[in-house]
Amino acid sequence: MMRLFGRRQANQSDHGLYVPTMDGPLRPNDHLDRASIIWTGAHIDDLAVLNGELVFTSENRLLSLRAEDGEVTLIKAFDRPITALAVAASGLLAIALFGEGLRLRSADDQWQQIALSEKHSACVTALHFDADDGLYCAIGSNANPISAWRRDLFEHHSHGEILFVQPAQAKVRSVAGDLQYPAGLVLDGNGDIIVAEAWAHRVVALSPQGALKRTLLADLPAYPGRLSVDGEGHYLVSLFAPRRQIYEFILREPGFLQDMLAKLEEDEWVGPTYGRPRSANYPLLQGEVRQMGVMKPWAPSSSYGLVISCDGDFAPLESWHSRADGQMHGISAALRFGEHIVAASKGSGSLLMMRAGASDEQ
Amino acid sequence: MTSIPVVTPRRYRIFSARFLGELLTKSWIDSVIPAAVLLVMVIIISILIPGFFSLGSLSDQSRQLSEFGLLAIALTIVLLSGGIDLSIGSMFALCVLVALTMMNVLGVSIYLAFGATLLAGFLCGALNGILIGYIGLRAFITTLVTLVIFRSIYDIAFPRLASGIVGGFAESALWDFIGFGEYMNLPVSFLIFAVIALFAHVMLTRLRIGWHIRAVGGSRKSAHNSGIHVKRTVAIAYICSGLLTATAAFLFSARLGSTGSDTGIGLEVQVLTAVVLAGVSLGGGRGSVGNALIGAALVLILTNALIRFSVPGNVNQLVLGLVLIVAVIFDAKWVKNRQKILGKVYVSPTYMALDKAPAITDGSVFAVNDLLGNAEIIGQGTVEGPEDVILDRQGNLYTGTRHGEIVRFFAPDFVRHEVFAQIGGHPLGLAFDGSGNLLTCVGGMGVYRVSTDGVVSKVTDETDRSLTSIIDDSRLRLPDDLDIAPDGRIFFTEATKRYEMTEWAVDALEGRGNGRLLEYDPKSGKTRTVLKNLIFPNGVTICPDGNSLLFAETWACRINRYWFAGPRKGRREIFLDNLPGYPDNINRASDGGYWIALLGMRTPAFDLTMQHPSFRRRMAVRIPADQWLFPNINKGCVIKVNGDGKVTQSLWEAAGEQLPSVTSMREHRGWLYLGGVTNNRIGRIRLAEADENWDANTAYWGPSS
Repeated sequence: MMRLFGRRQANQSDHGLYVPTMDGPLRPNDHLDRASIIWTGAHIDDLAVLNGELVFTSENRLLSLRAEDGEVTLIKAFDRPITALAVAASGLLAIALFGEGLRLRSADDQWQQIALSEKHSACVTALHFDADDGLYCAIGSNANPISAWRRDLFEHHSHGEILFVQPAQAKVRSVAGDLQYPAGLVLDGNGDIIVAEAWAHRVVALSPQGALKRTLLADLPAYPGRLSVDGEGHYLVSLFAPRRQIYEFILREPGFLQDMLAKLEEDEWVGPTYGRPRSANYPLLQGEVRQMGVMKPWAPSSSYGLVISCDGDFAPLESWHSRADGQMHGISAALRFGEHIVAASKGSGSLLMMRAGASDEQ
Repeated sequence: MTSIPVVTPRRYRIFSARFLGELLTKSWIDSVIPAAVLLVMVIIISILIPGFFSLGSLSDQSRQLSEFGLLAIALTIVLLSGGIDLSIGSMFALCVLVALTMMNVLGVSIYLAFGATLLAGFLCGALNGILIGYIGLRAFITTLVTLVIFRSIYDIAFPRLASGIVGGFAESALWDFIGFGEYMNLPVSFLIFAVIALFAHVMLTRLRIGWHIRAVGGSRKSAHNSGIHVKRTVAIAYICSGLLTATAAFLFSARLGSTGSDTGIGLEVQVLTAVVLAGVSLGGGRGSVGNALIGAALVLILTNALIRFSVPGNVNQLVLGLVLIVAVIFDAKWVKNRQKILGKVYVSPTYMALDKAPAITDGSVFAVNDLLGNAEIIGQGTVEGPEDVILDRQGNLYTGTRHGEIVRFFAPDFVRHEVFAQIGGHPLGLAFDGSGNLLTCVGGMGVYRVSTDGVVSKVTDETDRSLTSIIDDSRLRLPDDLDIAPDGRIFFTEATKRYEMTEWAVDALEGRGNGRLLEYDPKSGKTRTVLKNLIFPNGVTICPDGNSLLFAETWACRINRYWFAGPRKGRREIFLDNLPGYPDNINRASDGGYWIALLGMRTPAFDLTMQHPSFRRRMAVRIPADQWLFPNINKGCVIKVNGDGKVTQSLWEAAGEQLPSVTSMREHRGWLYLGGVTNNRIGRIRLAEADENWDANTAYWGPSS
């Protein structure tokens, strides 16, 4: 009966334009802006812990930070950007180089190279080792390189894959495919592969054979990126860009979308970004207008900072935000480092450190 | 589809979708559906029952309509005041009894009889009015009780008087004339009814008591807070009902000459059906005499048609009851959803293709610099929304705020300030006339004048109404900027006539030519529209030649020149086209050129959306205004053009924090003063090459006397 008086076609209903409000454990705060900045540099991307030191990537450099005094040393610089990083329990370290493939470093500083196909190596978003030093790679899309992630979002692609690599034999095999931009990858205690499907704004669990088992975290208000797990089995989800109703609306307007992708430069598109848009040509939304000198925190900015910590069943426990008037946007990775949580804000180029359970202290 | 076909822009010029939205804003739109239903019913019945609308039948029906229509108007007035009158039927019967007793039994003069009938109606209505209005009882139960009371009085009195009424004979020519006579081929009772209906309409729509009745019905509490005497108004509504019922009863008595024991039974249901069917809201506050007439005609025609079809009386009642249910449901849904429908339908974007914006790259005259970066800040936090700034001959700075004030900052350091005048609205454009009076365009109100000692007076708030506009465009919704010609004529712009001051952003989304240039002549005191269909006309300035003016069309990103005097009078041409931003105010510079404020910059994405009108319409309907694509007014600048329209310089603040959006700038004695409508401060910078002795007041009106 309702359909008789309601919308004519499914894609004309307002239902799909709904972006969930952030409430409960996801209630907005400014913890990311209040966190201490322990390092700044362009394109901070991925994080890992190796022998008690924090290892992180910045553009084409692999760096390490010592906990005691905060000193940062360069491990190695490469000729291509590093797109992902992982460290195994045995001390084996893996990075993904854009356009080339994987490089692994053993505990005794021996480097090994594993090539990936051209399409795969252009879009490695996340890496994770299992208990036997087998490496899982998340390929965001085999249609677009990682730098064209916005194009992949707007073209509604589900060309993401999960690969499994045995470093000893240098064999690469595909575990799962047709995923909507897997941007985060972690293994849970039972061997299931937990994947953050960014464009589907959800976190799902796949069986070791790659079949979808269940959805762990759905209807996220932002696009989920890298995942990490700590010793207690708690997870940290970094969400790298916000969802907005206008972006959902544009995704449902094929005529305008086609025109926008064809006629405008990438930095002129309407869509989510890692950080504050650099280009003066970036479009503004009405709620982002500065009134009386103030940018309101709930403005629909194109970037946002959000880290969520979840328990073993992926129920959200607490969250750290940087709102529209903050700077620490585009969190590309976060992990537990001793008593603290370290987050990489790719949007502002800062490495942040905050205490776990900090939301109670404010 | 990669490019817009050529036919699209033409289609948007011919078929304008905005008419539907504008029609829905009209107050009489509620009557359109019932009027259409009436028309359809008349057509169907005249086909099914030939001769239904013959002259003789029409004559009798119009007499019935007169009585029924008066009852409908009575009930409409009571419904409008937020109450209900179920005792109408019994009041009617009682008044008929009084009239017939006076005329047939007592044989008094017709005037006395009419007076007595009116008195009866007055007393009945006053009883209702006092119980409901003054004592505060609920209308429904009270009128239900008075229905019983009046009916009982009638049932007691009627048997005693029946033989006298039937046996008696009224000897009055006027009585017969009212009952059966015709004047100019129209029944007399119908003419009487028409006069009363006209008066009732005027009372309800134009007289204060009518406004009070509607206000009380619309929102009792707000009416009380506005100072309306609610109790008295409600009582008056019931008394009106009683008087109109008495008049209807008088006409009925004159027509039929006698009465029965079932006179007026069920009449209240019929009348209620009629008025609710035609759109008078049961909740109060909405309705008109027109609704009452349409409803009365509908029910009367329906009832008579059913009788002609030999439908028995009780089935007739059943049909009416079902019709009433449908009408009540429709009324409830319409009242709830009208605003929602209007909101979805009103915004009608159109197609607008701008040329590719000039690049703001290094080397171009629009390259971003930081010339405004060291601006001195005046009045931070003390003024909100200083859209325009102006200085008088003594160098004091004036600006309007969104609190409706004109604030004056005293020279030379602009620290001490005071509220110079309180006007209301949001004073936007400012100009000084030859006598030193400050004229201002007040958004939401009109053009106002503030004398040198702070006395506020209105210059104009209306213009001539164009015949082709559905919206009443004789009133000014958003007067934006003004300037004064050498002969004292005031030229001012109205940015948009489809949106209020608070919704100006929606006009950006429409991109229609909703604005106009107007002229006020102080000699005649008249305002007239000079140019129409302009795309958000904003800043105005009179050129140094005194014969022409420049005005900005904001969303079209261009400046136009219009000659209002001299040999080229009436001509209009583009002065500067394809700006990289949205021009706001324009003011003269000391070297014969002009300063233009760009309140925001164009972005390729927004320019692209202007070529997709249905995309913008769906965006306006489906997502909240907070997330609409918008011109980038977080980054504005000031540009300098010479007298021929060539841009010679641009001034920016690179960080965009102190003066993100500049809506106006004023050069005065070597300084440039900057204001922004979304800001809470004024800025000023030193102009190194400018004439230190130049000020606009001298340039316009000569040296001070």
